[in-house]
Amino acid sequence: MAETAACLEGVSKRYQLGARSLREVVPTPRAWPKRPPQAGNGVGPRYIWALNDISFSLHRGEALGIIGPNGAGKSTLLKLLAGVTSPTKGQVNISGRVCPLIEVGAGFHPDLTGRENIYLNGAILGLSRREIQRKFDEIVEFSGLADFLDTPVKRYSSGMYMRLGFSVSAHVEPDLLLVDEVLAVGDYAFQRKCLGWMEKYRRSGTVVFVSHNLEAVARYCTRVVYLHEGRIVQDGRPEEVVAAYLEAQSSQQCRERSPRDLLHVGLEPRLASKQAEIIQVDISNGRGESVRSLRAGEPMAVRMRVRFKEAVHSPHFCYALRRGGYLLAFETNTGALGLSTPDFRAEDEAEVVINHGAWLVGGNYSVSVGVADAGMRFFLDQRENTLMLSVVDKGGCQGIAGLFPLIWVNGQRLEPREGGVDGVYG
Amino acid sequence: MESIAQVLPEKSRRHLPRCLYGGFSAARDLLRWRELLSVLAGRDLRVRYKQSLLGAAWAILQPASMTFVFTIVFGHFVRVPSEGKPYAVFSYAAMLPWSFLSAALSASVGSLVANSSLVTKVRFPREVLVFAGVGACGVDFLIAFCLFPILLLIWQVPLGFTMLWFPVLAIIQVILITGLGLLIAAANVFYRDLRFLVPLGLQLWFFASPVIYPLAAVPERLRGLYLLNPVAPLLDGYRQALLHGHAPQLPWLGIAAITSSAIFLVGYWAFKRLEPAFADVI
Repeated sequence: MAETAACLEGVSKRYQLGARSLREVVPTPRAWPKRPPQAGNGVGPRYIWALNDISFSLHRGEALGIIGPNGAGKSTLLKLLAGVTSPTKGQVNISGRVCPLIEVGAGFHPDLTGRENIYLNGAILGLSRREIQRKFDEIVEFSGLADFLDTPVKRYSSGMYMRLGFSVSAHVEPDLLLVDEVLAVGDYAFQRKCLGWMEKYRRSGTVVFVSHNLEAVARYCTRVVYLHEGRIVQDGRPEEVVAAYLEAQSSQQCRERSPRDLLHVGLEPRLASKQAEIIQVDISNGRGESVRSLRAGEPMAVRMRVRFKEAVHSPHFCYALRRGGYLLAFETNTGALGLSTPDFRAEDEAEVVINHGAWLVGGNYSVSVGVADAGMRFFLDQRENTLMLSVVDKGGCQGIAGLFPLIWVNGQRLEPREGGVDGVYG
Repeated sequence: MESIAQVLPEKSRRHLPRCLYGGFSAARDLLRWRELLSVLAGRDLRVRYKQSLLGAAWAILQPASMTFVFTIVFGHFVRVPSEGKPYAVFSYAAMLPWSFLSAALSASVGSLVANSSLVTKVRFPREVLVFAGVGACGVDFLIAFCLFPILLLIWQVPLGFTMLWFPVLAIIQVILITGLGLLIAAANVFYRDLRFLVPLGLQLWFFASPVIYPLAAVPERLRGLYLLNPVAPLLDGYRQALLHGHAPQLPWLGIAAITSSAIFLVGYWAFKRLEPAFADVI
């Protein structure tokens, strides 16, 4: 049974809106008349529940991603895990040392030198002086700032500052690592170093990763939690949860989006007009059967049935495939392709078939379709990420484009060896 | 691995055993973080003296210059009685501990708010910030105290074995200052105007304490009340031990010690009680 790194039971966190007074935290002596502040009576404080009855267990070695819209409670959850604040209800149990990468360079003082700040920052993160001394050279080497150690940190550029802070945090060797969007620091080379370090860390420790970069979350994490308005909506495999999140987000907004969001340039955003309605979308394979899973390279067709409520002149049909719901694999529309489409009268129905081979690397893809006006200025109707399609390949490849090459060395075609496909790319 | 973050659910009633348990775990926590304490105190000191021309001499300069001005004003213009000793050493003996108290409390008030980024992001016992501030001022106090024997020599005041009372008095003073520091630091997180109240309070307290004038200047009938101010017996004690070669007045010193300890315990309790809310409010 995997050891538990952290456990939250029935955790709720309430924040007070508006000014706060000492009276709530200090116990009132019984002699004083009780003045219970009620939310909503206009006199007492107003509250907001940032987290509401959250329970989950984090096991050692897990890389947990937390996603959700702004205000969902992600940062609050991180603060609770960091032990910086305490829940209003429920219990938070954490075992081991926690290192929050939330504030890189915590405690750095601008007047002190890089060397002094390493000791300071390390001490704040819980390292003893001896530990810092032992790791000092590694920290310096990781940061690449060996020449600047004796300069006051206020003379560092912001990139150098972050690199030093990250280097110290990286060497704390915590049991639980909390990461919050801090990886957008430093130049490309350093970012790669950080990601490499995080990858290495993930194998041995436990990570909680909060980010809006869904691709990074899906790629890095072994488990993802979707938080919305303080509650856990979904908790499970990264690709599923990310897709669910995107679907929820896009279904909220799809009526408000314009073809521009599908990367066409120069279009005005406008509400979808409801002159037409997409009543059915389906995927079929080469034999015409409705499927949700295909082998790579197999012929496939996306069928869309559109009912026109009014007469529409030459509407255009849009089609997009996204990997996991966010990374664009392919996108086009009849307008961009220069195809002429027929006119439709009111009450007409159109069956649109989009036919191509599924030359994709194995994974989950989501299908988005849309109907737009003749000038590609606004959608008549749109279904974003409306169907999930699973593509299966022989393994050994990564990315989106299913190129599946044949490889020769010295004129000799390479044959498969015993043992089959290496698990590197899954 | 032990669980380091375990929080009381809902508001629970305080029972005495839990209070003691809280005290022990607080002490144990603090021991674990003692290195951070010295690093933070070191940071304050280093930063203070790094880019300044005078450096560590500043620790001496402040009480010395105040004493100088007081000597002129109260030693020569107004001629406040100084217990038979030269006014300069008379006032310096009390000026030093007072500067320590004043500086430490001023540092404590803002110590949490100034480090708000740490408070909201990293977990450690917050009192370390207050202790570090007090500790840094304590180092200044000790440095400035080194000047004292030189002053005594200049004015030919004999040094006596009663100087050994100095650590006792200093410890009581540190307990008092730390307790107050914890209280005002915590309160300042919620009520930010404390950082204006504290300098004002210190000014008033300055005159309510025998810094410029001797204890004997306080009328007899008020003296009992006056000595309830824990700083009063302490300052008088410093003078008795360092200048006059007597032990401090023990009953009053004992009361000061008890008052200081009480203030410390209350301050620490209030601080720990409010601590979970710091990150939310700061």
